Amino acid sequence: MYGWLSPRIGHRAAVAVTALWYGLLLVLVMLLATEPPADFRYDDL
Amino acid sequence: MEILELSWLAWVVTSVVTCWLLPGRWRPWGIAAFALAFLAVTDPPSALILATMAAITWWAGARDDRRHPGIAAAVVLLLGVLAVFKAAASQAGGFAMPLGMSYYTFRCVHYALERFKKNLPPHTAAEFLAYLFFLPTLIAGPIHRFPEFHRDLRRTRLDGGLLSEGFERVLYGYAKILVVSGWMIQSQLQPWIAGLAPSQPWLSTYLYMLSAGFTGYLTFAGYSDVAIGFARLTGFRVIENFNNPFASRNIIEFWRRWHISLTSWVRDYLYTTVFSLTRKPYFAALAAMLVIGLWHEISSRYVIWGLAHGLAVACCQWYQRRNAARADATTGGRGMLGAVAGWFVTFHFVMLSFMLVMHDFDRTMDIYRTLLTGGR
Amino acid sequence: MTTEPIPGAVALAEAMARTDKKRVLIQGEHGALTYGGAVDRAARLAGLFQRRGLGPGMRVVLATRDDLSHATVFLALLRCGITTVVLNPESRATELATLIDAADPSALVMDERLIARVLPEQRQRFAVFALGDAGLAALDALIAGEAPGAPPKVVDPESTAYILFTSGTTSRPKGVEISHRALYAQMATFVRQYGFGPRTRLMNLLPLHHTDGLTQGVVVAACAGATLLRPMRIRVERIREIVDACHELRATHLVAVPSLLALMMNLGDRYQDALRTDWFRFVISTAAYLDPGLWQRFEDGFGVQVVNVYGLTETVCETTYCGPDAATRRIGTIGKPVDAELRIVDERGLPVAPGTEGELAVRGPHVMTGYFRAPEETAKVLRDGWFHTGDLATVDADGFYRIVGRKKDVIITGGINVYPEDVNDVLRTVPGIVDAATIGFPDDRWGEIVVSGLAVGAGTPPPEQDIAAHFLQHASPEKLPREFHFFADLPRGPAGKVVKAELTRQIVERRSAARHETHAGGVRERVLQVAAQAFKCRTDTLSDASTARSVDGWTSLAHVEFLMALELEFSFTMQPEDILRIDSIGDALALVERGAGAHGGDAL
Repeated sequence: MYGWLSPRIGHRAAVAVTALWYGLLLVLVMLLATEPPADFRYDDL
Repeated sequence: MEILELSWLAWVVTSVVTCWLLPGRWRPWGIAAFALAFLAVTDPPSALILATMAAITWWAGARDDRRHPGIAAAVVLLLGVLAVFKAAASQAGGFAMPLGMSYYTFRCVHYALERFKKNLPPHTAAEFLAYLFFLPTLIAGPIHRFPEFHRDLRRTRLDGGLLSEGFERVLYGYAKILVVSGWMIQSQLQPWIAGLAPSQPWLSTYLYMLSAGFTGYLTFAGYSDVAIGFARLTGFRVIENFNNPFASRNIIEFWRRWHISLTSWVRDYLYTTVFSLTRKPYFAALAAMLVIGLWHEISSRYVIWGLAHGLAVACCQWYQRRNAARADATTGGRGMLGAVAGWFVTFHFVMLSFMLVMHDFDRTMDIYRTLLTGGR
Repeated sequence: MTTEPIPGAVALAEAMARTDKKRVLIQGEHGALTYGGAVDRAARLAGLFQRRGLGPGMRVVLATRDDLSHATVFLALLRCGITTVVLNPESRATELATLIDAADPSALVMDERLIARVLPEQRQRFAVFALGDAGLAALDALIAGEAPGAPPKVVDPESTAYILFTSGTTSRPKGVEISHRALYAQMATFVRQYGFGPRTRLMNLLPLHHTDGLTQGVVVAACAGATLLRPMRIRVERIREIVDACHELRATHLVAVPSLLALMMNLGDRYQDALRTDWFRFVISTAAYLDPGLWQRFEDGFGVQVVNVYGLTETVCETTYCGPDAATRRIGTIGKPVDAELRIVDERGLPVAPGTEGELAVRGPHVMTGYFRAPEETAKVLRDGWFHTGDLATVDADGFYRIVGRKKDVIITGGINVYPEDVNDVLRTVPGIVDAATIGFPDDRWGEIVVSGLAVGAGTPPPEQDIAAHFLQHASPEKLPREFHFFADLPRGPAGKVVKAELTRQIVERRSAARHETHAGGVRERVLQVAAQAFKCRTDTLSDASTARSVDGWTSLAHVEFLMALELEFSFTMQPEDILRIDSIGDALALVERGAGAHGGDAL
């Protein structure tokens, strides 16, 4: 991610965006990890 | 699924940290010890089976290489045991496959056959054990290869690039499983699709098919990402499992992009062997796909699935050979239109075939009928 | 860890006798020679020599394929102060006749098979001892029942330890005489410069009838109390095994020629871990020019230092060293002289201005005594105590030497010196060939290859196989030209001498005009063509190390098509076992070469 961004928006901006992005994903992952997994079956159609 | 369990995460993270702290000579032992310990605690029978397979493989490989029967017998034995367990597990409910067995059996066979071909770099028993008892890929693949593992074992150094790559990969893996597949598709999209069912039976079934295919892909790819990411964090670059499979323009390309570690194993050891014995490329392709099907589960639906893909691959091969003179033989079609058409057919063939293995036979027929006839 | 320098033959024998009997001196293909075994056999050989009236000042011809026997006899002869004349065990009858005549020996110690090639009148003149070419059995039978002899108490350091013939193996042979003093001076330099000692395990597969195998192998190992590893003959298709052997036998050093390094680079990255171990020290590259690109790539790829060394048979073995110490190390150079002096001189023998090109001259204790019974030849190169190497060099401001050219007429192919006149002499005897001129052509793999222009006058050129067959009857395979180019007559200057520059130009034209079928090269090209067609790519993107993983178009279908196309192209059927083994282009090539029966794989 950083590698892709850095030449486009500069080193510091890339670090910031990458950190934010990772942070967002991390938060979502942790939130969702605590929920029971959704189990959708065809019969529910 | 273990990868989603906190306990597995704890084990892997601890093993990563510890292995970096160990001096070089002890690293292989440390890596192997962690995996063995994990397996012994989580699934003792599997630990025993893996240890036995490791011993058999090592013993067969260490014998005088001129004695082919040694290695051939070991390979047949290993695959036979796998087949027996798989068949039993597919039967009466309740019997679960020993953790990781499908993967580590194939790793043992890979090692044994490469040893037979004298293709392996000189290595120690500890390095062999570290390869087989490797926690990140132990329970859900990829089926990584010994030479690359060995090279990384010898050469790898801790550096920032490795850590950030690995961390990102793990994060993306979990995001695929939990955020995209789990929340976006399963929690949000699929109920909406269900809501569509009464008024739009065909559309809802079609969308269901796509969503199921994508969740299957995302979950599997996510597991692979987590495994690859943790392997990277431990200092290893293991073989990829997926490469944008739904962008494939024909069925052969699909199988080079889906579950790559499994298909390359089958190509190297099964396809070539069957071809060398029968000299029939199409038969070998059929056999290869059948084995891929059976590797998942020994059941009639996977047999059908395997044969269907086998036939598709064989046809595609036949078509490509016929067009061999043409410049763009890999797409097997004429330019842009051909590529799009190829993509369309391949994509839907794959999606339809997934239905076969995600449901029992009756449900699958239901789905096909609905899609064909346009509604209940 | 380095040992005390050995000052002479007697000291060497004593040091060997003091060494643990069970320590291995040479690990060979068919077994091992321990220090104890060598010492014991040397004693009984001394007895044999004494009984047969062989003593200091005499010469004995030694030629055998078996490494262990070779080393044992050589070391025994050293101790007895008898001069060894080492000959190529692949020598043909004509060569043997010339060389034995020139050497004027008192005895021949040779393989049974070679003895049969010696002219009957020569055989009658000398004592003849037969060896076998696999293992020590024949030697042991020879000395069975011999009582240990008493070798001379003193060996004159100025006496000749051995003679190695360089050029002129069919006429006017030049035998380099190396004295004991020179030999042990060189050994002392080796041991100190390389840091050899009892724990050294030196992998050196170079032939024992050349100085690199003999002195930088057998003798230096004995002097250091080290172990010499020679588990197999160098063959091109066994490079992987050689690399694996370095690891398995725990080699600490590898002596190689640049061609071997180039072949190792071609193996692909799987093999590049073989030398990355705790015990391996460095690679020694000798006998030919080491291209700086290859040098750097090898060090990067294999992760070990390459010590480039320069020397000649006339200076025992090496004179300059580029490494392992930092002071002498600079990639692209041959380093600096150790225990020797160098000068760069012009035509008249006067030192040139710094930075200018000139002939490299050497002075030091390791320089030869002269050419055996050839005072005029000796005087041409040994002047005022300086040996003129015939190589052109420059030295930079920091004292690093670089070889930039060659004055003398020699081709170095795969680290082996081939003298054009020797080749021409044999080619001129081939029926249908009126005249021959031999030149070296640069080659990525071998450094240079031997190429001959053949004048056939008004007749038709004889088939190349016939020429090769005739050639091999009279000269060893090392000298066989890789390419033949036919002319009505060779380009000559006003005095009638062949103009090499013009010949080179004409041959270059022919090579680029047509795809020339070489003895071994043609097979490789054809395999690459087949592969390129099967995988839908260009031949220049393929190499021996290419596999399904590195080539995009190498699908499983393409793979079987490749196999079937190879069977068609080379008219043979693959066994299932063989098919399973083909992972890379190199594998396919090896299989084809085995099956298609090329002669390839001889000495590098």
